[in-house]
Amino acid sequence: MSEFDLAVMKPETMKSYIWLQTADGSIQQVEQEVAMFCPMICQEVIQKGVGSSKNHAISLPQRVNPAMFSLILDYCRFHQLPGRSNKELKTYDERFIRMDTKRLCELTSAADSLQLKPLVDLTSRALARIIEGKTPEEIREIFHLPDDLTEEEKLEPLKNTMDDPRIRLLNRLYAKKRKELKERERLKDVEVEEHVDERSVDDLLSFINGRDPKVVKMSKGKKKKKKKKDLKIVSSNDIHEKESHDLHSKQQCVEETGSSVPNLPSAEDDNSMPKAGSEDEDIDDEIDPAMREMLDREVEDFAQRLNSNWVRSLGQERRPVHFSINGNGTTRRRTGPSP
Amino acid sequence: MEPQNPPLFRIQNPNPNPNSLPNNNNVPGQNDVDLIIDSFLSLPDLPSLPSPLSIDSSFDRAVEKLFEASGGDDSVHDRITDRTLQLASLLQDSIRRVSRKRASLHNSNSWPLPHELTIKVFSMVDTKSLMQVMACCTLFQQSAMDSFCYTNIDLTTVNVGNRVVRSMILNAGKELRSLKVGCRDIAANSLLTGSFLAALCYNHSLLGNLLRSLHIYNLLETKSLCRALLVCSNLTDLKIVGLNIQSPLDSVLDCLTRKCQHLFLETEIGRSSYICGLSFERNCPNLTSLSLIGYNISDRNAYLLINGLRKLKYLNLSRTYEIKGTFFSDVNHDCKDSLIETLILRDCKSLEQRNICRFLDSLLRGHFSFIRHIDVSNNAGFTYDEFRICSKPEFLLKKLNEERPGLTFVAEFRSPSSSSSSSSSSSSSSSSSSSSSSSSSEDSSSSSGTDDEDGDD
Repeated sequence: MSEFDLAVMKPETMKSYIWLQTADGSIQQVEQEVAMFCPMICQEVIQKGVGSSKNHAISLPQRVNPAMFSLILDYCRFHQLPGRSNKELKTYDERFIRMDTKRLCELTSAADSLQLKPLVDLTSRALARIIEGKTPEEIREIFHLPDDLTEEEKLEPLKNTMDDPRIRLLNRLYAKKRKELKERERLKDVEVEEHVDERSVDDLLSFINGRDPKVVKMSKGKKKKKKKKDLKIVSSNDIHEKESHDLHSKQQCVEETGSSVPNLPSAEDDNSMPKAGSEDEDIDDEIDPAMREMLDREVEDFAQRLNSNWVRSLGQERRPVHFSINGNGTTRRRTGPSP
Repeated sequence: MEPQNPPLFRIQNPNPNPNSLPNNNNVPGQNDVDLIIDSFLSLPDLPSLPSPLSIDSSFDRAVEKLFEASGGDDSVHDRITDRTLQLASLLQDSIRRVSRKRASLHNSNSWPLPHELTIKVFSMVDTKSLMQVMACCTLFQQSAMDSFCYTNIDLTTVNVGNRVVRSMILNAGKELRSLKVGCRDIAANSLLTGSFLAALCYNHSLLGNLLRSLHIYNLLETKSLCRALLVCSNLTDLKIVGLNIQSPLDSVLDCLTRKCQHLFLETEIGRSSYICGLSFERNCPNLTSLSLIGYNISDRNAYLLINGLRKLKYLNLSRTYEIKGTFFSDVNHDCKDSLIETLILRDCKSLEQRNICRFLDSLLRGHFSFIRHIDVSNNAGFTYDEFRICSKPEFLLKKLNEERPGLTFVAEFRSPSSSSSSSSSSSSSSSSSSSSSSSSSEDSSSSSGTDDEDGDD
């Protein structure tokens, strides 16, 4: 820290003040400990070194008008004192937010611009309490908002989010892959090498991810796998980046296989071993043109139907074996035991 | 939103006939049309009907002239009527459209909170109020559509159909954490049918896996429930009130994830099914809180429950009419170091006094060191051979007071005839205090049940 900062922060000096300028241009000085309670002011002081004199006053954000600012200062003054009991704070808070709705909104906005989270939470909750239990007309009345909805919009507030084109595309992709897998099931026999089968499946699924996922391979009881569906698990825990679309960002595929394999314990060790760096460059070659055309005929309802059919078929198994991956990548199994 | 001039009494470019070409120079007279409408709308206020100068009579005269000029042909008259009416309604639509736009503009200018803050406020509001908010104005609607507001969906206060449930679940997207659905009041005819939770299965159960807490009231059908439970692999809290199925409870329990920590199942008397205590150990061994209200649980199964669920802290077996309490002795034997803190056996009609005493005795000997709260209230008292006893074992309780000061023992007997029936002893302040009506046993148990719930597992 520079000397300048130390000078501002040293507690032994006599009470130091910080200069602040509100949106209307008026400058005032505030006790340091009170002002530093606001993270935004704190940042300005430490990072930019302003606020130590009248000429270098910190200019507060637009949303903080003088009236709100004095309220906020009162709040900071009360809360920054270390010796307050929880009960005291609570009573103060409850009395503090008793004001008309307009001022409450302005206060929320001002507190937000100063990054004063406790006050933002307090005021937001107060606003939420005001809104709760009221009819739309009453709400409009309180906030002085004229009605700008058509009658139809009022009757159907929740538009169907499945109309989002990105969701539709995603569903189509899922449906494609699943149909493709079913095709492969029918085409290939049981004795075909499992390894090739799984890998192509994994690759196909990683195509959806569009990047290098870590694919957890099920290497359990390959020889014992019957005509049941392949088990594929795509670990999505490493894919935490935010996609453009919400539903796509977390893909947790929970697939089940219905095989009742007795030697399950031995396979458990293999589960947690991720198969690193699966390539997906071969994918396009594996989809021949005829199949590609077939896949192109998807509708999003098909995906849903597949989903529900699939899950229903599992309910008929006596003891379904579930494999799933929770958030931190460890697999867990739930089996039906023999009585 | 296109900028509007401050509308005095002028409306620019109203385009009364939507089928006409847009404003371009090829259409002759477009500007003339604008001018005509301009001057029409700029007419000063005129007196109303009785006076001959009123605008009403001007309208009448104009329309009559139109009819006379067209001759006697009926179809022409009809066309004139339709056209004039259409003109009128177009003007109406236009003024409404424009004033809506103005209102939207005013809202977006005057609303003091930024978008994220508005969403934050709306996320603190219950689901029903959220729907009311959506019907206020477009600004609110946009903010209220954000998935963050649908993290905790509570539809128990309204009677909704499948479509609403589905829309809400989809709207929540990856923010979905808890869902409460169904009608609390069993008399209400629920509009929900079988697959109302199907949305949880979409996209490889994406949404199902996000769900942490699921409360369903007065379910109609269990097959779809099982399907939904299969996909909720991270469910830690499940509550089903009104689960009336004839088949064994195993079918539901089999579908439940092992991660479940809080389980609450309530059914009506006489409709309950057989429960095997072992199936809990098999399917949900991590339970810390279990409530089975109104089921046929034998003493043997109660013992198996306590013995098998090693992490159990809260157990509520109210309205279990068969249970006599003989499981206490087995439990004393095998599970004396059980972690149980709260044990509730309200309205268990067959509970025998001597078994209670045996249990208290074992407490005195230091077993069940974690237990804090025991509630065995019911209407009719304990059974004692063929009699009913409506008193508590005072002697034992007094000793318990001394040995286990943190313990609360509640036994309220609300027999309808007796006057002073309720009495409860508590040695010192302890955790949850029970209320004396059985209908609220559900509330107290659910509140105690979720006391332990911390964040995610």
